[in-house]
Amino acid sequence: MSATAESLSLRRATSDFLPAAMLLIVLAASVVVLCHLAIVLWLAWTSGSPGDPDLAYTAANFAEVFSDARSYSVLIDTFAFAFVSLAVALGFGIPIAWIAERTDFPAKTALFTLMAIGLLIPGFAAAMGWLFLLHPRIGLINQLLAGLPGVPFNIASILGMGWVQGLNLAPLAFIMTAAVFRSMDPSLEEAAEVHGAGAWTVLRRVTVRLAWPGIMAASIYIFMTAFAAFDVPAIIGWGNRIFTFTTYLYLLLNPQDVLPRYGLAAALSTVALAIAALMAWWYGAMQQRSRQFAVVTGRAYRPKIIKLGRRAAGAWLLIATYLILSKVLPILLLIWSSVLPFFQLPSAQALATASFTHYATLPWELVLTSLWNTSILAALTPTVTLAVSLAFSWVVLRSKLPGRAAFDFIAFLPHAVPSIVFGVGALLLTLFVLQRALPLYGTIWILLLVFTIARISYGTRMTNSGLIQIHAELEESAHMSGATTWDALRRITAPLMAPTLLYAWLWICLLTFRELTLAVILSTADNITFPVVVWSLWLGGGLGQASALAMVMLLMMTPLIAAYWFFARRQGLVAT
Amino acid sequence: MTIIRSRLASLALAAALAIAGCGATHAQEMNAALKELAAAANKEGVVNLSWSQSTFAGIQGAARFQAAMNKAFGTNIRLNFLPGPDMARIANQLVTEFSAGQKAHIDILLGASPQITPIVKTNFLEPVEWRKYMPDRVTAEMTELDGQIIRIVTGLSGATYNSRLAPMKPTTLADFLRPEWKGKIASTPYAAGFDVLAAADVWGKDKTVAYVQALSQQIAGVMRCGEAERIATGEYLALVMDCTGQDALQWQEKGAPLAQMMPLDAAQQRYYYFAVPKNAQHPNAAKLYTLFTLSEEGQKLSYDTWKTDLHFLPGSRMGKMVDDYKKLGVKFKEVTVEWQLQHPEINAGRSELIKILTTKG
Repeated sequence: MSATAESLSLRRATSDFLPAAMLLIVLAASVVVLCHLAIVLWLAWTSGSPGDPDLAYTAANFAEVFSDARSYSVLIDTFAFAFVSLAVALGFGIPIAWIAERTDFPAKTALFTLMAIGLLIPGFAAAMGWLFLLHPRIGLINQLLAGLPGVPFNIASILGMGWVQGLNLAPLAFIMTAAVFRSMDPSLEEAAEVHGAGAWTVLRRVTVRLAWPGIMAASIYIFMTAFAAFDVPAIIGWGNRIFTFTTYLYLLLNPQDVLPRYGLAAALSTVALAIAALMAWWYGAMQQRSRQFAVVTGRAYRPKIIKLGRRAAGAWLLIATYLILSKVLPILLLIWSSVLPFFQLPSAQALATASFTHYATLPWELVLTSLWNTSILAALTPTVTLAVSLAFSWVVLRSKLPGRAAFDFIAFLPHAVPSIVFGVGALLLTLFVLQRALPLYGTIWILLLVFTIARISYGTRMTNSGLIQIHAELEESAHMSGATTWDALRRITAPLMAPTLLYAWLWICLLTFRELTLAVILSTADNITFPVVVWSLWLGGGLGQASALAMVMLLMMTPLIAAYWFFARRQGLVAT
Repeated sequence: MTIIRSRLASLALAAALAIAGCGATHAQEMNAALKELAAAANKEGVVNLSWSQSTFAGIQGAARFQAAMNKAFGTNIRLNFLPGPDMARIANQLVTEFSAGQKAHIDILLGASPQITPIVKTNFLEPVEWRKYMPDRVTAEMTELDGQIIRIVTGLSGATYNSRLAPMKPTTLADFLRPEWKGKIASTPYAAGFDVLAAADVWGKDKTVAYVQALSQQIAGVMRCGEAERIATGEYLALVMDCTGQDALQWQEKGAPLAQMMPLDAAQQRYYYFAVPKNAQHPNAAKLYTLFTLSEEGQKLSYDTWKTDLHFLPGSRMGKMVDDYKKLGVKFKEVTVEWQLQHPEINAGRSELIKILTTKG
């Protein structure tokens, strides 16, 4: 080794603090995640509530779960619901992501903005909208088709629920796969074309295969999101006695006849944990394979843009269909219901009763308090989550630490555990374990902590995808030149991952803005969030006032998103 | 010395309140205990409340109660209202906070016997000697469990239905088993009303289970009592049984075609109670608010905001409604927490009823 190389190596060894810092962050986050899950596992073996002097250890919860035929029917319905949701989400999300990133589609910024706004529309509002479109008795479309034999559509079914949930999750599929398409090296596609492959063959045999790790990551993630979804099954399924995993858990956690059955709910949650473990293992195995798909190397690259030509009409049709079904119709129904004293199908008689009373009587003081809390969380949660996620991804994908794959498994777990159970775990942990040392209950910091943990799996899927695409040889070259890990991260990895990180930041920000399930469980007067106010109004005051507030929420966010995308576009971080 | 100083301060504040309240309608009627309570409540300054937005008109109602209460007692107390989930969930959260040794997130628990009975054994509600504050208004029958709970308003349980779309005008619960209702009605996921019928001195378990099983084949789904808008839209044509008839009256005011049927064979008269948790942050303000709700002004506001008041108090509009129903031959079963505690078969059989109603046949 030359003297220069020795000197550089010595400099790295003495000033390279980042690997240790990242490992420390990962260890701390893992402990917090495991503590939450440990609470759930512990509860599964207990009867009574924490703090109850009569609390006893028992296996009765498992016996009850596994001997009840309903547990199995609920699980079967949940799987069916999640698969339908996945199919619908990918069916819309992937083609639109491909159009946005790999074609010369002219209105890309608008498309990104509209897809992002889609994440803001509360799931329960969309579900209510679809209920009024395709309900077998009062659905607008069904009433228009009343002369035909039988009911043409029934939203109150697994298929119907999956359709609505899938439309809600399509933006997620879009955001997750758009980053993959954008980071793709076009050289293999060009090579295929040079050898005479047609556009369809290139798409099928090269593009899709290159994107496969990202698509699989998105699929696993979306499947688990649908598995843990609450609002659509609660609005459409619950009323029609179709229970999925989360609504059934909610039933157990909020009994009217006894105190909450945390133990039984926790025992049922262990089934979800087992499924999560299986999915995480699958994801890990696929990720190992995906290393061969690293498509960004030391060479310069620029994704090839495909000219749509006449096919542009088809692209417009697909996007318009999706936007009308998933955005325009629910928003129109929100507007309609926000001006009516009670929800009625469109008619002259209903129009005569329209007014802005719901807007005028909104609880503005509470709205502003909740907006402030939500804004703080929407800014901090994605920032902290991505910092932690990047540390996880770096340790898992770049370090040589023995057993590092376990961290990826841990990072995935919060997503697999339904938010309701996770929220209850956090509630009990802060109330019974942490409260004296760290009084977080009732503050927004407990929400920040839980939101961050809950999003680590989201974040790490994105940072993993981004880091997989960047070959380690770039960082190795930097190290050879004496750069520390921090230097390499700051000057090479982070800039190359900037599009992915920005997508992820926005995505987590928007999800935080509309996060409901965790916030509902952990909210008090001091840390109430915007979606909790909307949800509470809907629960107790009818759809009208809740719709009015949801419209206010959309109006407040729209200019912010537009400004964000305008800025991002100027920075060259969004496809143009 | 500190105690003397504290008492002097209380007396001074009470005197100031009495002077300040000279212009108020009822301040001069306050006895010493009530004045002392008002002074302590005024020092606390806030009451944290949470229930459904449709109950007592939620936030708008809280603003009206706040103004009227402060005028009546000459205080300056803020009602900090948060729209909340269902009563059982709030009760469970309060029990959890109490078990953990934490302060309660709200100062008053609102609930009826189904929500309160399961949590009585946790012993987290403060026994209050309510009568000493308003002896002319608060009677012995208004309090239960040694003052841990106090009746605030009356609710009449029956069935809520869409009067425009209903295939017939129902008069008994048996009417909902007729073929014309099949697939068009809802019940609650918590067997509201049916639990009471299962009591040995009402219908008894066998008759109730048989009815609920038959009803389960009729219903299209389940909904909460507070979701009466779903009946107004025609998604369901009836809710069998409901919690109280207030929803129908409230929606009628908005022009919705809702009506309540009081079943001749299963009419129930229940109460909503207030209770102050032992770990409340503002217990005195909570008690003062409770007492105001029971005052003449408070009861009037209760009817204005929630379409209900305590039926046996003078001038009660619910009292007139109850009398009218009785003239029609309706015999109400009075449902109280103490009565429900004497009927363990209600809670024992409730899970079975819930399972029948929430399982698709």
